[in-house]
Amino acid sequence: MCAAPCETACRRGTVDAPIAIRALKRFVSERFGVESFDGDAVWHEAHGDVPPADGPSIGIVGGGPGGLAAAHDLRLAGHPVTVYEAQGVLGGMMVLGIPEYRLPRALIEREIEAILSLGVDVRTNCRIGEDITFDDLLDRHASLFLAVGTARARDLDIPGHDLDGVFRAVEFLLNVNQGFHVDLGERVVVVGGGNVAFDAARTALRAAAADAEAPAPTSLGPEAVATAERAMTTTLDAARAARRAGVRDVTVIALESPDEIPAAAEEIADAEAEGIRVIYRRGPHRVVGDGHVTGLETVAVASVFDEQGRFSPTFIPDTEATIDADTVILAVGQAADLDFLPEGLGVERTRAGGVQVDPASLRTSHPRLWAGGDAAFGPRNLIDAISDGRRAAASIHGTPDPIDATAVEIRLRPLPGYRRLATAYDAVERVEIPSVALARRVGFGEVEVGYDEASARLEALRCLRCFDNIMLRPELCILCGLCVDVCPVDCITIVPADDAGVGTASQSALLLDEEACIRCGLCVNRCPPGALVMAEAEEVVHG
Amino acid sequence: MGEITELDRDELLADALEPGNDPTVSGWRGRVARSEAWRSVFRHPHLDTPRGRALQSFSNVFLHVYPVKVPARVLRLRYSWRLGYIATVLFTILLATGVYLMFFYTPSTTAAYGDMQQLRTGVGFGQLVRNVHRWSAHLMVLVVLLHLARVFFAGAYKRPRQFNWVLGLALLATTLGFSFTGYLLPWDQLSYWAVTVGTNLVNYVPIAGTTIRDLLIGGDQINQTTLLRFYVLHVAVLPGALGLFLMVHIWRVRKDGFAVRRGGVGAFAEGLTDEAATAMILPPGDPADDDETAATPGRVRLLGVVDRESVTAEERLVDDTVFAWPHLLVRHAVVALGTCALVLALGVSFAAPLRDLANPELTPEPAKAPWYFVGLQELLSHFDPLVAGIFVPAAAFLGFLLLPYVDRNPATEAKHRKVAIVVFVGLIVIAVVLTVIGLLFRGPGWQWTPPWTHLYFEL
Repeated sequence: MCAAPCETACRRGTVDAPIAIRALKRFVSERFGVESFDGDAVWHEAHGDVPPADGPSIGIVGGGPGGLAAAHDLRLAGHPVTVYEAQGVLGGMMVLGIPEYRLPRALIEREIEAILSLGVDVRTNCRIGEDITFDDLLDRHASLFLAVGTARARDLDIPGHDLDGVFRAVEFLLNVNQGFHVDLGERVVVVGGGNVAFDAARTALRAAAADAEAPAPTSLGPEAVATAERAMTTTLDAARAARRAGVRDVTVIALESPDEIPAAAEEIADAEAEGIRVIYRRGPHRVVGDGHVTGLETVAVASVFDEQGRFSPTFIPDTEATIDADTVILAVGQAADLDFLPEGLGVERTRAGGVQVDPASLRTSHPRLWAGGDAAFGPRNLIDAISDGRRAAASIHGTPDPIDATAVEIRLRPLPGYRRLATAYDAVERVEIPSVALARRVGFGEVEVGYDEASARLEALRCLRCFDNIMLRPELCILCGLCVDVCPVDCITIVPADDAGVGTASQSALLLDEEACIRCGLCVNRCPPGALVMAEAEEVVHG
Repeated sequence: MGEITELDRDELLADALEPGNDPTVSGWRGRVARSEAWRSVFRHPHLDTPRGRALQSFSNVFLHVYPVKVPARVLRLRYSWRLGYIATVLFTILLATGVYLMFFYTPSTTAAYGDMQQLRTGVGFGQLVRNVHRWSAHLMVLVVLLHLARVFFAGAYKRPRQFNWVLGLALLATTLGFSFTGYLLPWDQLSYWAVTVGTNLVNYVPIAGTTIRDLLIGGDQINQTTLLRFYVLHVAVLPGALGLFLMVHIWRVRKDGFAVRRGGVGAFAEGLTDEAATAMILPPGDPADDDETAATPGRVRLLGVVDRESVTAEERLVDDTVFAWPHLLVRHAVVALGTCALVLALGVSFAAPLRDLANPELTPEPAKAPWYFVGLQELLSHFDPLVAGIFVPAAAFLGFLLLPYVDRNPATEAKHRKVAIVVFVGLIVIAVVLTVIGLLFRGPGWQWTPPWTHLYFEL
């Protein structure tokens, strides 16, 4: 679910392999989170008492991850909260789009239960525009948060796309996840669409750049990459769901080469291990069939990106080939369904069809309307949606952004003593996360199993404690160089201060390579005048 | 990284709960390693990680003599030829063999010679130990002289190591003192007359010459008092002095970092620094921008800026360092074993000379000084004793003593210090020629006698 960007940033990664932060969080969550107990005692203990709901009423449109996260924060801030959900169940894409083997349903139910137990009002099967009008919502609530997601699948405009047996990935996954039987036949072809997401993101970027009269950007930000990965993940999800539903022959076709494909290598490897065939550098040309699908005609790809690095596929003529198929699944992107917004309301929209918001406050152009998640930014991952929900809640309530790192100041507080919690922390290698054997990966069980307590403890003791940092009191330093000598990883350097541009010729500068430092504290132990001390990073939240 | 497969998983977990537990061993060895008694002696686990090695050096008194890390270039034999280290090893061998010989030796004119004879026949390994002691002594003088020459050619006596050069000369003088005092102890004709020739030189010192000589030998000629004085100097005073000088000498080598980089200018050359190294540490511009290039180090934080007050403070650019243990220590062990093997081989092959009992009435021809003073003896035959015996050696010694303070040229490369090198090489050539002539080409009456006619050579 989570791409674990924390592990990419983990300092241990520069030593050997990063700490398995995601797996450790999972362990802690399984032990002490919602899934660890039946009642809600610990939940309430962590929050204290839920305050009375006497603030301005808030309406949340969409019971997905973003909406529920906002509901949770707003209720705890003292607002009466109502969640409107068009489907019969809460959870949005968590329940309807994401396969069960990625995210156990029991866990989602527990999490939702915990949020509801705070006293959140829920209206399921309530589609705005049909069951209730948008104006009614505006009358009923002081503020509204739109988190409707992207439930509408994009279409691929090739001949034959309306034949029987052509599905859109979102609809297909939605049906499978709701437990409906989908007749797939024996051979399934999934048309991958990672780059459609790229395309949408690039279009938006170019539009923004044109407005600012700046040159078109040639590279995309991490968000666009995440978007493309999400789309590719949907493709692979669809393929794997088909495979698990009993289809023998599942093929994914992708425009990109293995190097270009916007999906994690392990995702592809996992899919291939399950028997899914991935064909690279082929583009969909025509769906073949007479009333019902019999195959997909593809053409070879000449190039995917143009010289500026933009998504602009070109094909090699006369290379048509047909793959026999009973079902073709198109995973070429999703869009927000915002038809319920009244014309006269004056809510600005993005080029991709989402709601235009201020990225910092998530406010729309309407003063009482906030929006976030996929509905505002296009398809992204679950964590982004939850983060949007929390930011919107803070913005609506008028408190500082809980996600914004610039609002937090880090102070170093010298520690009186420094001792590692474990002697061998540097010798332990990353503990492998247990996963289910390939032969047992059938049905909808989870693939990753998670740590047991011993493994979790072992993995956790690898932490380098990079929140601790050495500090120098220059007035005490005698430049003996013993710290440089004892440092096992050569991360301390003494250079002439004038060369480093920080002082005069008669001074020396001590430099620390923080990425190399393993916080062993040997320099602190050895420093004769005690000029080096270990200091703990302390967060000070402003506002 | 350490091989986790070799680490005991349960012990690792125990370590997490009880820091200090050694997770690298299990079973009965593990139980011993975790006992209070064992841990009171060995306070760290033997982790095969950089930190583990640093810890080992850090908490072991023997490894503590060495720095934790040394520049990789130090490992090359060419770097120093290990001459200082070999001299130290020889000193240790001399201590060990000398203590053994002390058990069987009486510093008395009536007993000493008999004790020497008894060493040959009646003491277990007596002859071998004496041989090793003697050859080690000669070798030590030679190695110390070579060490001096090596340091000179490397320019390693320059700022900030001037005083260590002075200490080195003190060590040279002490070594010669050792050899000279030891020369007398066998109390045979060779030792008696070599020391007589040597001590007679002192007479030429202006004004106080005779007084000094009397103080040194305790009379107007070599006698029982001389033997006792030389013995006490040899076994008590000089070892103390040498130990003290050696301690400071080695300590300073560590403090000043390892000897200067050849072909580069030392970090202490005023106004000059290793710009390339500095550029490597602080990439131009914001370091955060350079994240993608693997060559540039990651996030560098300025810890602080410190005024340089002490001369010993040195810029410690992170060189290409390796851990002293095991890299340097293994090499040192090999050199030490090689040195032992050499002196043992010499001891087995060549017997230390023992001539007739010392006889003040009978002057052997020729009476030669120990080999390192033979050059002076040769000089004496050409010039006035005051000039050749006093002024020349005094001037040479004083010149060497003041060298680091007179030679202010910061360069260490040969091409930038031609004058110094030419003068030094000239002195060496003169000294070697004089020594070779005195040692090999002189016969009775100090007459020219080529070695192919008759060799008057004794060590």
